[in-house]
Amino acid sequence: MSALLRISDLGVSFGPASVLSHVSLEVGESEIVALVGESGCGKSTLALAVMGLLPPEASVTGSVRFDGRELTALAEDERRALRGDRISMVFQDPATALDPAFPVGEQVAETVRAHRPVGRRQAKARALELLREVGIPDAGRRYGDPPHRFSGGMQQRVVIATALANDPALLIADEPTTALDVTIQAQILDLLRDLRRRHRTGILMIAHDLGVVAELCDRAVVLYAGQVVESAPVGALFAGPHHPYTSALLSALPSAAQPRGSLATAPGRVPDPADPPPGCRFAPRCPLRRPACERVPALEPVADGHLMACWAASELACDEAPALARETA
Amino acid sequence: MTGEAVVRAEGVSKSFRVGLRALRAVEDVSVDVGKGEILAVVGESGSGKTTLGRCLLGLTRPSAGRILFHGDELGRMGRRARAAFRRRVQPVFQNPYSSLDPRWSVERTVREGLDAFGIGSPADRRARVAEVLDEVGLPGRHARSRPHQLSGGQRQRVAIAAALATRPELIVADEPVSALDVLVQAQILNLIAELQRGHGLTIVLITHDFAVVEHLADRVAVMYLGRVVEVGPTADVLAVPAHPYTRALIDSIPQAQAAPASRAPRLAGEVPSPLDPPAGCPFHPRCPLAFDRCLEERPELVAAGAGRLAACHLVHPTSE
Repeated sequence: MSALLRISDLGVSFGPASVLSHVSLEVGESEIVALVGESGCGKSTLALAVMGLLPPEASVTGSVRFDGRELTALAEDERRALRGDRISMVFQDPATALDPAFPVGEQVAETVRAHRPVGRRQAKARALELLREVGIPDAGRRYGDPPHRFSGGMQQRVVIATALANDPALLIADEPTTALDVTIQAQILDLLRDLRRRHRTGILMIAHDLGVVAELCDRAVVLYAGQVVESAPVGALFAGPHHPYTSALLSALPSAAQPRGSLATAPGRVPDPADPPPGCRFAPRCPLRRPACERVPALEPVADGHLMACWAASELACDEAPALARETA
Repeated sequence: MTGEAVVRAEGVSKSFRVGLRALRAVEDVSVDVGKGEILAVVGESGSGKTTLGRCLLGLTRPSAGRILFHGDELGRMGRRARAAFRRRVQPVFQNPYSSLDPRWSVERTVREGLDAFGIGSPADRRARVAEVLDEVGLPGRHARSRPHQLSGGQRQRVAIAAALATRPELIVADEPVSALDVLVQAQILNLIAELQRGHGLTIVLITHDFAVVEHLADRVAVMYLGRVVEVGPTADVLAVPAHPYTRALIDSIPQAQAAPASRAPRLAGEVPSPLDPPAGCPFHPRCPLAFDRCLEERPELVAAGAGRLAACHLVHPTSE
């Protein structure tokens, strides 16, 4: 698969705080890659770095290549031309992504007109087509309604329609279903799956819900404290072996399989980005900590397409696959 | 539920006026919670679960029906009984960022209930604050911290400590972990389980998350458009849901496992507006099994196995 997006050795820091360091990952055409990790691990910063939406005080090192072009070298107007066109983004909360004062249809049409030399009528026709495609019932009549006349799930469909306005090659979705009810979440996941199938869109999806990752994504990249600790095809990630941080995320999921009150969890919290531990950043919380962990582990292959940054990795690979969190019937 | 109910809702309804119309947030809900039991109330946005929780807390007065606390009706309590109720029933809210006063120290937040009810001497209150902070796993050095100096998980511990300070019997927790990351969520769920076991606390857990329900709750009540559509022991309801809505909710949960099973058909459509609920069974417009009768006649809750009730025309009432 040719890489649509190739991030190599990306670092982002704000003054003394290093929010991302040495991050490398790829997203191929019609591939859905999940970015997994807790709050403060750098997931959203990575998304903003790809979009070129980091604040000016951020210092960026490394490379972000999209379709063969180096994005970090582009001038602001060139990046703006890409945003909403070849690369677009869906945010977590649709209510804040839409302008409350404008009819939803016009918001979709405006994105079309911002990047294409088309007249109002054509833009409206395209917007209607998009609203129908994302499943807005009665799109013609709803075109002129303001966002507050739509439910959260329908608002998120409008946001997705806006993101798709110009047939992007790459979609970045930052927790697109977190604010939605579970039956609506299922519908939005179906929509994203369908998009990938019909348009071959590559999707980089930020997710904290490992169930969503298992259902939707091809590959998962686990970030901890700004570094990639594991990257694997989703099947392999859930089958194990895992990085101890990935294991912690999986075994902390509540289920009936675990006795009440004894969910496994890692002590402590994600380190301050201005003062990360010197070696492996997960070591202070890790049950498998050993002297070697005072040095930084490299991200190395443990199986085909499965990378892990852990000194204990070789031993883990020999172990039985650790018991999984949710063995639900 | 077995034994005496700590709290019981009897035919509770609550409507709010919206313009000229009535929004029926809760409609004719009857549930009870036994001593030491964890009852989960689960449902999507607009199901009325939060309003029901506020009624149980005495923060919202029902439009019809009544709330009984140990058999005493909430609306008819005298001042002393009312004060005792407020001491013995405590809330924990979803968002630890907005439920704590940003200007107050942890100590003051946790002590507030003790001060308000005049419990103990100042020295006793200080000792009690230290005791509950220890119990929720918050190091004593945080007593002087303000909320902005704490993480989300630590703030939720403070909120739980504040709820525990007056030694309540019943905690009504509305989405207590949904704003937290998974590792922190696990810590707080463990803490809730520990408190329930250690103190025999009775807990009403309001949540949208079935994973939390199956891990923590003894019984579950499923709400849809203001009504309870199914209630019963958690393990039984999850294993064999009696109501098609419960089935659909469970099927919608994405599973974190190696090979996603074949997907059940999605539930189409959305929850209708509570301003304009459908006639007949409120679930019929989305129900894959709906038939003529469901469009006209609203099903009553009927016995559907041991300790279970469900409101569906397809459920054959059992003798229990």
